[in-house]
Amino acid sequence: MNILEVQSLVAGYGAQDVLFDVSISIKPGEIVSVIGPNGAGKSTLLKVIAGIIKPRCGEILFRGESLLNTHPWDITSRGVSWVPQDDKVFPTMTIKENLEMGAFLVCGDISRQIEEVCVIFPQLKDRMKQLAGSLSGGQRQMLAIARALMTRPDLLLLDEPTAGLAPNLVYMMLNQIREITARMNSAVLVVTQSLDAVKLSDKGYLLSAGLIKFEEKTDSFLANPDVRELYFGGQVSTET
Amino acid sequence: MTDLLISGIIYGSIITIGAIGLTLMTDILGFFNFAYGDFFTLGAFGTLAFLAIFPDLGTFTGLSFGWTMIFAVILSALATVAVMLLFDFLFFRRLRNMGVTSLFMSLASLGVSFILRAIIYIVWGPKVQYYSREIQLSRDLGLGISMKVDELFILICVLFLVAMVFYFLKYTKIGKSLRAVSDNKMLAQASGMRPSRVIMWTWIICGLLAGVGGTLYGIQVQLNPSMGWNFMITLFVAVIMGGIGSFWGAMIAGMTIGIAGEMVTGLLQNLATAMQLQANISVYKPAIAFIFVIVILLLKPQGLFGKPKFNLKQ
Repeated sequence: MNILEVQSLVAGYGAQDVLFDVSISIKPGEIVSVIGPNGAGKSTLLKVIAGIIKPRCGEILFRGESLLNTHPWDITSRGVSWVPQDDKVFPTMTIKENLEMGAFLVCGDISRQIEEVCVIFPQLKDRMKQLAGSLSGGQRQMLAIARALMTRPDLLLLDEPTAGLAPNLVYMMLNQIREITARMNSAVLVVTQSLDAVKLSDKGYLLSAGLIKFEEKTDSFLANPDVRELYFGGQVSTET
Repeated sequence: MTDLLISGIIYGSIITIGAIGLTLMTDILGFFNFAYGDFFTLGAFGTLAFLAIFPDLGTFTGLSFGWTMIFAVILSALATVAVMLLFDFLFFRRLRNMGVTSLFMSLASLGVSFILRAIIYIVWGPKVQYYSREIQLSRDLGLGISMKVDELFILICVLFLVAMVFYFLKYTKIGKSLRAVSDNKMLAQASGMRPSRVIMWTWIICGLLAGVGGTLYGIQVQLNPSMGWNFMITLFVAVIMGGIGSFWGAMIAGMTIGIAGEMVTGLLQNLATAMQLQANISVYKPAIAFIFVIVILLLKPQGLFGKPKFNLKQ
């Protein structure tokens, strides 16, 4: 059974539609990537799933239950965590406070959850009192993902997690995403423009101008001439 | 000089209480609430009403009031919260749900302010009123400092309230959620925080501050139905000067405006008296505050401790 099924989704801003008839599915513990050029509607897709934007029509099923007309806080309580591309932390709060806000829905002691995310992101452990606004881009990204993991979500939505990071940090971040699925068995839906992130996934979707152009397992996905032409300019190594 | 400083500290501490409430409200609710000053008035008159209801339990040594006042303040603060929540339910919540801009919310708050003031006029009348008609003399506290015991009480009370609000915002889960919403509303929602609950807590905290702050202001000056409305300009200046949403900014700006306002007008008054000019310089206190805010905004448009990109339409 799929943990997430998006069926024939149409969504947009104001009178403008951005997504037209988008359908995707994710199995538990799977890493799925959505790639596409700027303005394709990748971030909008995540915002709709997270409940930030209401869809015009279509269906979103999470563990078989509809997420339509559900508020973002209720979606989070059901086990979906979203990490936005921009404004991903609470800048005037410390790292520890950010993690506490990530666990806002958790009742009782959260020290175990904090320890757990610090195993995945050990860089955060010694900086608990540092303000999130004073962190570097890579550290902010780690904190943002760690915050989202505090509820031990079944589905993690990552919006461009490697954008703006140095190549060595991209590699580290991708390893940490892999570790999340291994440790927490969370499924990950990652929106990306990074080829390395696509290689990490089990399955890929190509989203262009609000439409899913192609869906396949990663190896076939990267070898597909449409994907190569539309997105990577025809030169892709499928080695992982 | 010391008298002016003490007087400025007392006035500044009351501004601080109001400014902390107003800055929280502006930041979290996303609009300037012009009715906040009238909630101050309501708090002050509420205490007066409860004082009339309760039996007189005597006064504390040195103070002009006793336990009756303490009970009355607590009940008045709770009543102010209840009225704030009622007005939110009747007006602001509906407008929020309609998705109106911060400008319309502010205009609606202006309407609420007129309604509140009219109610206060109808219930208590236009006459100036007092909690106590006893004349209290200043006492020498040593080191050339002399102040009334009531003023000392106001100062201690403000320090206690500031510490409580700081503790609430810094160490409690609800307080942290208020700060989170102030920082990043969308991320706060995606982290599981319900805006309606955060807004309700904002009204509760600001209502308690208005209830107690209004009473402290009433102890220091006489009660009249326009006291809060007239105080609003100073509160706005403190919020803008300190930076919208900044707890410490509101505190520092409040104290600065209070001390500078008292000292500058006091010194000018002394000068006018020495020059045998008949002028009441104290009415220019708000002008001193405005001079401050103009200078600060020219140098640092977001205020002393404000966020660089504050946007009222959140």
